[in-house]
Order: sequence, then C-alpha cells, then structure tokens
Amino acid sequence: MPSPREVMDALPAEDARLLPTPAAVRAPRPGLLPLLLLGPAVAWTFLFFLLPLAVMVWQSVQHDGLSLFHYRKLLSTPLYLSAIMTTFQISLGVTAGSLLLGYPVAYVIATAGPRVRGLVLLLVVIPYWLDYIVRSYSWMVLLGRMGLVNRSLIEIGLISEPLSLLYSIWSVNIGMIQILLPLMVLTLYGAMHGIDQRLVQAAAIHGAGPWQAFRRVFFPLSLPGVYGASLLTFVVSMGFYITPALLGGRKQTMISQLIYTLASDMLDWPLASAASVLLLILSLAIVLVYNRLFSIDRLWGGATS
Amino acid sequence: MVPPAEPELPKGAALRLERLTKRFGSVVAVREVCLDIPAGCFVTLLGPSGSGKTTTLNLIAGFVLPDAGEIYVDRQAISGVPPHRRNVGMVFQNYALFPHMTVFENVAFPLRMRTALAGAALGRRVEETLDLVQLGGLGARYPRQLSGGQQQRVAMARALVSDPRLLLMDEPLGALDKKLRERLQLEIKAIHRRVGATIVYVTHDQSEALTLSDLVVVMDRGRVVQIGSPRSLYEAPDTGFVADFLGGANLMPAQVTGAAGEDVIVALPGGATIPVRPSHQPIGALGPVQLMIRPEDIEVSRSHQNDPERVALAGEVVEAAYLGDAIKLVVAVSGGLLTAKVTGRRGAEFAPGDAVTVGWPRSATRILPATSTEAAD
Repeated sequence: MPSPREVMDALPAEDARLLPTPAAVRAPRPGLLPLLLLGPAVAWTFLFFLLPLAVMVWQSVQHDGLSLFHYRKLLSTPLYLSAIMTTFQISLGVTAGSLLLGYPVAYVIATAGPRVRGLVLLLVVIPYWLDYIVRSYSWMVLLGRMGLVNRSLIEIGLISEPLSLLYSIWSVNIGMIQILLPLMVLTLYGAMHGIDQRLVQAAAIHGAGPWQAFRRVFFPLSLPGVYGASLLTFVVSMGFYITPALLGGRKQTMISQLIYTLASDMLDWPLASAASVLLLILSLAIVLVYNRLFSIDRLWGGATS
Repeated sequence: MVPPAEPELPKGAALRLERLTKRFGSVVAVREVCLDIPAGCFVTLLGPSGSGKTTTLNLIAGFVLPDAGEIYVDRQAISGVPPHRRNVGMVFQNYALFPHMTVFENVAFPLRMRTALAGAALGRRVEETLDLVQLGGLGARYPRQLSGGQQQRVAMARALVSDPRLLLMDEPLGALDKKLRERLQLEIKAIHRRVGATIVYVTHDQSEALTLSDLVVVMDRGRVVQIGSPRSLYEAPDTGFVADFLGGANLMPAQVTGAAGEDVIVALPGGATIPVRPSHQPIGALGPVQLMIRPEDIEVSRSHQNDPERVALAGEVVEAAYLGDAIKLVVAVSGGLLTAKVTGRRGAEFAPGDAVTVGWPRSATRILPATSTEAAD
C-alpha cells in the first residue's frame, strides 16, 4: 500500500492541490482576495467598454427587428466601400514603409554595442513621447503650400511653383509612417534581441560571410518578429483618425473618419455602429492571421528564444 | 570538399599562439598566452571560470580580436582573417544549432558556404558525416526534436563535415548528464583518431581533460599555469593550484629545514619531520613549501609499521564517505587534514573517531612552492 504522501506525489500538481493538506485547511478561503483585487478593473472595463460595445453591436443589427441592413448598406454604398478599401491601402503602405525603414534600424539596435544601442533607442523613442496630434500638425507646417519643404525647393531653384504635397496619399503615408515607425522598430527590436548572437557566430565560423550569415540565419530567424511587428502596425494603422484627417484629402478618408462623420454629422448611429463593428471584425481577423503565421515559429521550436 | 589541400600537409593544422593578450575594459582576460600545438594534437584548455580559456578559444575563432600577440595556423598569421575564412570547425557550448534548419541543412551549411558541392554529392557527404556521429537517418528532423545528446552530435557533424584542419570545442559536453558525457568523451576521442584534425577543447572538468587530451593547458586568471600531458600534470604538478585542480590533492604547508644526502628534510606544522626526495624542481633555499600527496597514495591502517621508504603519521578519522568503488576517509593529523581514497572493501572498517596511522610512500610526496598562486602575481 502506498502511503498518502506517495499518492500525492504521484498525482499531477493540479490534482494534488485538491486533496486537503494541513496548510490548505488552515489557509483563509481562497478566491476572495483575487476577486477584490481584480474587481474594480473588471467593473470599470465592463461598464465603460464591454457594455457600450454590446450596445453598439446591438444597435448595428437593429432595423425593424434583427437585421443586417446596415451592414448591407455599408458594403453596397461605393463611398463607404471606398473608405474601407482606402483604409486597407493606407495601412498596407504604412506597414510596408515602416518595415523597410524600421528593419535596418532595429537591426542596428539589436546587434550594436551598448553605447550605440542606447543612443539609437533614445532617438527612436523620443518622438514616441510626443503626442501624435502635435506631430500631425507639424507635418502640415512642413508640407503645406508655403511650408518648409516647398519654400526650400523654390529657394534652391528646383521648382518654381509650390507642389501640392498635403492632402494626398503621400502626406498621409509620410505622417503615419513617422508616427508608427517607433512601434515598428521597438517591436522588431524585441524579436531580434531574442536571436542568439552565437547562431550568427556559428554561421561565420562555418564559412558564412556577413551577408550570408544575415541572409541564411539572422533574417529567417527574425521573420516571426517581422510578421508580428507588421501586423501590429497594420492593425494600429487601420484605426487611425487624426493623421489622415489632418494630412489627407477627401480621397484619403479612412474608416475611423467615416465613423465620425456618420455618428456626429449624419447622426446615423446604427450605421456608425455597423462601421465600428466592421473595423473591429477586420482587426480581429488580422490578429487571427497573426496567430496563424506565428505557428511557423512553433514549427522551428521557438526560433526567437 | 575543402579546396584541394597540398597532399603533404598533415590532416591537422599546427597552431601557435604568441604572447596573446586580450583586455575587456580593465580586466585582462588573456595575458601573454604562448602555446605551441603540434598538428593533429588534442589539446585541452583547462581552468576555472574566468581563467581565460573561452576567450582564448574565441580569439582562435576570430570572434574577438587580440589586443596584442599573434595566432599562427601552419605558420601563417591569422589575426587579419575574419572567422568565415579561417577554415575552422567549432562546437559551441549550447551547440548553437540553427533552429530553422533541419539536421541535414545544419550539417550541409559549412559545405554550402565553403565548397561547390551540391545535389547528390553534398547529400552523400552529409549522410557520411551523420553516420560518423551515429545520427544516420535523422536528417529530416529539426534540432528541437532531438535529445541533448543528439543535438551535441549534430553540432559535431556540422563542425566536422567540411574537413577543417582545426576544430574548436567550447565545453561541448557541459549540458549533458554524466553517463552520456563519458560515452561521448570516448566517441570524440575515436572521431579525433579518425579525422586527424587538431582539436582545441575547452573545459573546466579535469577528468574530461585527462581522458581526452594529448596535451593539457592549465589556465588561471588569464595565464597559462602549466602545460603537459595528462599524466605529467597529474603526477608532477608545478604548483598547488594545478595539483588541486587536477584531481583531489592533499596540500600540506611545511618547512624545509635541512638536507640529508639527496633528500630534503621537511617539517610539518605538527612538528614531525620527514625526508623527501625533491622533484625536478630545484628546492634550493630553506623555507616554506607545500607538500602534495594524492589521496589514492595514502594508506590508512590501525598498526604502525616502520618502513624507511614510507612516511607515517598518527591521526584520527573524522569523516568516512562511501563512494561506491572506493571509500574516502578524512583523517586529522598533526599537520592538518588528509584525505585518503581507499579502494576495495578495506576502508569500510574505519569509522569517525578511530585512531589510525596514515602512511604513504616517500616517493609519492611532491614538494611544491608555498602558496604559489599568489606568488605568480
């Protein structure tokens, strides 16, 4: 006969906890303290996030009873549809631009010595601290008809008439990339930091020059980070409002601006709700894709660890 | 395979370190290290952590550049050669296998980088090497699907596959359990005999160093303390540090008080004097020294025999530990504590508190400089 002690040791930890132990009998009733600690935050989230969200979802499917009317309207009206397409187009451009600019920066931060790393990190983070409304306005000043860029170009004689730089897909991209670049760089750096530098050394000692070592070892190992950072940047871009509103023209209307117009100018709250839910669903779908892509990482057995 | 080497070249490279020095900030990690390693030699850098052995290996690999000194491979200075052109194989401490590549691709990597081999010829070479490390048929797996021992073998295969003439190994067995370690030691030795490459092996495990090496380089605080064959280092250490680091050693402080013929008379702290035949080292002056006696040379008995060729001291057993194949007895004598390793069943008759006589052959006593590790500074 095994002793009770042996039985408990043989059980998995979860089950062993269910058996009354002297300590558990004397301990205060579990569960109360965690509830107390979590309670306020849970209540807050419920009242001011989940409840309004539920109301919004409910509103979006109401039209003489339960109906997908608003969604059909959203997806069949060319104006609304084009806002959705524009949102994707801008988010894609911003993500690609941030990735191209951010990858080399993140690489430098991840592989440089501590002094260079600290300096570059600081330079990346400083603009991050500045409010993005301020940064969007600054771009208006720079890119305006008589802005710094146009005046300089006229000054050096490259152009005679000011270029219309503002209110275009370019100005929106420039502004949004500038705002989202730190996010991209920091997320990429986080992933690259986890790549064991000895793997790169192993590549070098076995004959790979710097470019081959990067191409065959560092870059593939950084891919999960690239996917993660890109999808994060993409999802955040999709919800942008102020920057496209300030720097974009009418053709650069994104979903968030559409929601604002529907809700506060046209007072069509059900349609605004439907647009919001659609944005939410699209973002969630992208997060699901993100998870799917990350299973590539699992295939390698945790390449970033 | 490797670009056709001149046929008269031996399979291993001759390695020479000349006054190699490396500082990290204010710390001198490697200090004027000089080594001459003949082609095909299995040399072990042995030392405690912080002794500079791994830095020395990284200098040979080219991962860090020396502040002073030069490294020669087959008489060619290689300080200006980047790691990927040094034609070296290396087994890393935690293997550093490429996690996103299969075992096959890991092993094929050096061939793809260094040779024009491709297709079936490359596949054959990889399979041959996997067979050599007894991993045949596992090429399609990913490293994380393998056990620690198998990962170690993949790392070996990757280091060996392009026939490098110099192989570096950085504590390659450190992460494995004792039994597997001992088995792989023998395999590494067999592989070395087969491939003939010069191997520089870093470890802090003295028994590993003794088992594997043709030549052991004992390092301490960035310096080479002693170089020799395992046997010469074990039997004739120059300093207390080396004696203590290679196997257990009893080190007793003592005084040289005089000479008698070829012997010197040494006084132990308890007052007993013993004549000792000095080793090759000249112990010229009178003064403090250390006596080194290996635990396996010490005999413990209940009766005192008068034998002029043996040293005998009275003592008391303070500790008895059963080791399986031997019994370790710690005996308090007038000069301090002596550890004896008694093989067979004889040791079992002693228990703490027993009055005993410890004895050892005079020839098994070695005179070492007193507190030599500090004196080296």
